[in-house]
Formats: sequence, structure tokens, C-alpha cells
Amino acid sequence: MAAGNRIKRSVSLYSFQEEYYDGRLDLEGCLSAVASTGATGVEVLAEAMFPDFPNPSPEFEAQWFGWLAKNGLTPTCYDAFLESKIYRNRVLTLREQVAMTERDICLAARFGFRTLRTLCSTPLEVIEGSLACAEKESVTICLEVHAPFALDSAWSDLYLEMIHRTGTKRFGFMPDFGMFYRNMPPIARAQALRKGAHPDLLRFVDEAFEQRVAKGFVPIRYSLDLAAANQAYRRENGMVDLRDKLVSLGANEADLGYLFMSYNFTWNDPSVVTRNIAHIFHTHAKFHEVDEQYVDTTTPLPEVLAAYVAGGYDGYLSSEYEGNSSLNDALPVDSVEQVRRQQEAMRRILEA
Amino acid sequence: MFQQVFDPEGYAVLTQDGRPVGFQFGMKLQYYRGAPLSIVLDLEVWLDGGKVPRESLRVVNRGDVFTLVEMETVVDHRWEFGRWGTVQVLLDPAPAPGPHRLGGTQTIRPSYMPHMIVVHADTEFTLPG
Repeated sequence: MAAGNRIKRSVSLYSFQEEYYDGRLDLEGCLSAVASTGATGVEVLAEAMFPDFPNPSPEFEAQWFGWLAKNGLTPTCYDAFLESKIYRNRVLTLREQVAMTERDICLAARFGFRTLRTLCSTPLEVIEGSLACAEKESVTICLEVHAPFALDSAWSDLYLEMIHRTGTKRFGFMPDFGMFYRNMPPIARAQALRKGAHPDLLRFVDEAFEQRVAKGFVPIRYSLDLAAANQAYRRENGMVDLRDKLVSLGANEADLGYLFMSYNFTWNDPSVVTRNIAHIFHTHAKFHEVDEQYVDTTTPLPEVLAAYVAGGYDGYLSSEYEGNSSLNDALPVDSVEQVRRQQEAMRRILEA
Repeated sequence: MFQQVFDPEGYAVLTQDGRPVGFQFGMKLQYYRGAPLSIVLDLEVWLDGGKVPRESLRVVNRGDVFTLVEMETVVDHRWEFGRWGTVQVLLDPAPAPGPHRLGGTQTIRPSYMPHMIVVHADTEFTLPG
């Protein structure tokens, strides 16, 4: 791959959730760990690690910028969560949801972030209603394209239409590499076996996933009822039939858990990134495992990164390690080493 | 699932006017970020195999004490990620000091998820005298 591209590397602190939960890393330690992996950017979940969220103190703000300077890090993306169901008896109104998004945009700007991740479940009207604030604060709202959502789909077309209609430069997409899983994570399979799954039934699930990869996935549709949309997606991609088949073969909870997990990932031809690059402002480099040879065990990084280079992407690829949950039932988790390996793998590809 | 669910140092007898009225324990939220208490739909607790009535549970957050019914409206107190939350269990008679078995289930409803998170964990502990 031709060097000279302007792609930068970041780490989402989602990656270090295991160490943070256990108390092995605090926020300052997480930032130091990010720097140790070779990344120059950091992405945060303020709701996980910012003290007194959503009202962090000026003292913390000063500390934050001090830690960034000490570690040579640039804030990249602020991950927002539109907590629209805080009340039991109703969903927040559109006005309330916009206000919550504006709160997050202002927090992102205050802490130096230029992009804000909004979840794929965010109603289009909430984003559109927040654009003026995003413009004022110079923060670009990025809709996470998280599997099973996809670019070049009826779902993403609705948001693209809004971009064209409003002419906004403060909204775009951020793909998540869960849309580039060519096979199930081996560590997830190993975990299912530890929990008593049947090897032959797991093979059945793996083969069904491989068939979906070869044949193509039926994309999920836009809906404010995410549960219904997700159920329809799973049904249309054969999950109900597969489940019934597995049950008839004597599947247990571990087998079925592996089956359900297999619907959390998809494969898309990476060229979808190149075609949509004008609207991509950040990226979650989601992964489960990078082995000792610096090979991602699910995502063909050379192929995927080539699509970013081909499009002239100049944003961040932000490591998002998710393998901890496939290990922590029985095995030690070293998120920092996993992120270091993925960063090194990406560096080698981008600088080759 | 995270491994360290219960605080090994968090067990204590609850007293009122010098009389034992129950016990308390520490527990972490089984989620990857903090959440308003109203998002925690339910807590279930078992002591020595018996389920504790829901109305006997209290959650302590920033010095305030809430029943689970009250928690439904608590949107400004957050159960912080990776921090011990205190759960009080009112029991008459109060459990005796010594070894016990504890079970706990959290049901969490993050707004964006198409499903709820339900996590159960068990442990053995010694209630100090």
C-alpha cells in the first residue's frame, strides 16, 4: 500500500473497559496506555469515565488537558448515548432528545473533540435538530454504522438525503469494523466450547455465517422501533430457521448464544467505504483479537484499510477492542496488549 | 460478564437504634458505562437460597437511599461504571454474623439496545459481627 496517506490512529477507551472496571486502570492510566500503543488520538465514553458526568468540573477539565499534553494525545471522538428511555412511562420527546444531544455536543467541544459518535438508533429528526448546535460548536456528528446496519442501504440513504437537503457539513458516518467480519471470532467459539457448546453445532453456525458472507446480508431497515427492526433483520437472514434447526439437533444455551452472537456481525465489501468516503469522518476499528503475528482473526485489515486509502480518508481509525467479553469468563484479559497489536498491524499496513 | 461483581470488603450489618435490621453489600453495575438509576429496571437478591422481597431492597447513591420503586424516577443519580454501589437489604430477623451465600441479578435497560441486559452472579461471604 502506498505510504503518504493521511490516515491517523486513535484508541477508543471502550477498549480498556475490563481494566477500568477492575480498577487496574483509571482514566489517567488509560490515556497513558493509549500513548503506549503508538496511537496519537483518543476517543472517550464520557458516561463511563468522566467524573460527575454530565457536569464535569473545571478542575477535571484542566486535569484532562494536562493528561492529554503529557501523553501527546489529541481528542478524536466523543461517544454519545442518547438515553431516551430514562422514564418508565414514556420516551423523551423530540425536543428533549435534541437537548440531550446538544448537551453532549457542548461537552465534546469543551473537552476538545471534533467528532461526536451518535448511535445507529438515533432518529433522523434528532440529528437534524442538533445541526445548528454542531455548527456553532464545530463538532461533526457521526452516525455509527454498526452491524447489522450498513452503508449503501435504504437506512443510510435516508440520512444521506438529509445531508443533501440541508447542505450540512456537520454530519456524516462512522463505520464500525463489525461490518467487516469475514468469520466468527475464534475466541468466541472457544468461549462457547468452554460453556458446553457442541462443536458440530458451532460448525453449523460458522458455516451459516460463511454462507451469509458469500451470499450477502439482507440489510436492516430504518425504524424507530429498533427491537422490531432487529428481529426482522434476523428473521430475513435466516436466524429463526437456524435456531429451530439447532434446537432440533439438541442445542443448549451455549450453542444458541453463539448463534445469536453471529447476527451481531456482518461482512460488506470494503469498497463501500471508498464510495462513501466523502461522508465518513471517523471509524471504529472494532476487533476481537489480533494474534502474535499481527493478524486480525476476523477482519482482513489490509483489504479494509486499502479501501480507506483509496478514498483518500484523512480521519482516524480508532481501535475498539471487544474481545474481553469472550475471555473474561475464564481467561485473563490484556486489552492494552491487544490494542497495541492492532495499532501495530494498522501502522504496518498504512506505512508500507 | 465482568468477574468482580460483589465488593469483598462491602459486607456490613445494618443497624437502627443499635438493633440489627439487615445487612448491606457492594455491587458493580454490569454494564460498560454508568447509567441513571432509572435505567436499572430491577435488582433481585437471594440470601442463603431464599429470595429477598423486592420491597426490602434499598440502593444508596450519593448519600441518598432509594427503594426500587422510587428508583424508577431517579434520573439524576448515576450508578458509575466500575464503582461499587451499595445495596441495603432490610430483613427481620437480620442475618447472623458468619458465612452466607448471596445471589444478585441486575436487569438494565439501556435506551438504545433492542434487548435488556440481565446478569446474575453468586458469591459466598462472611458477614462481620
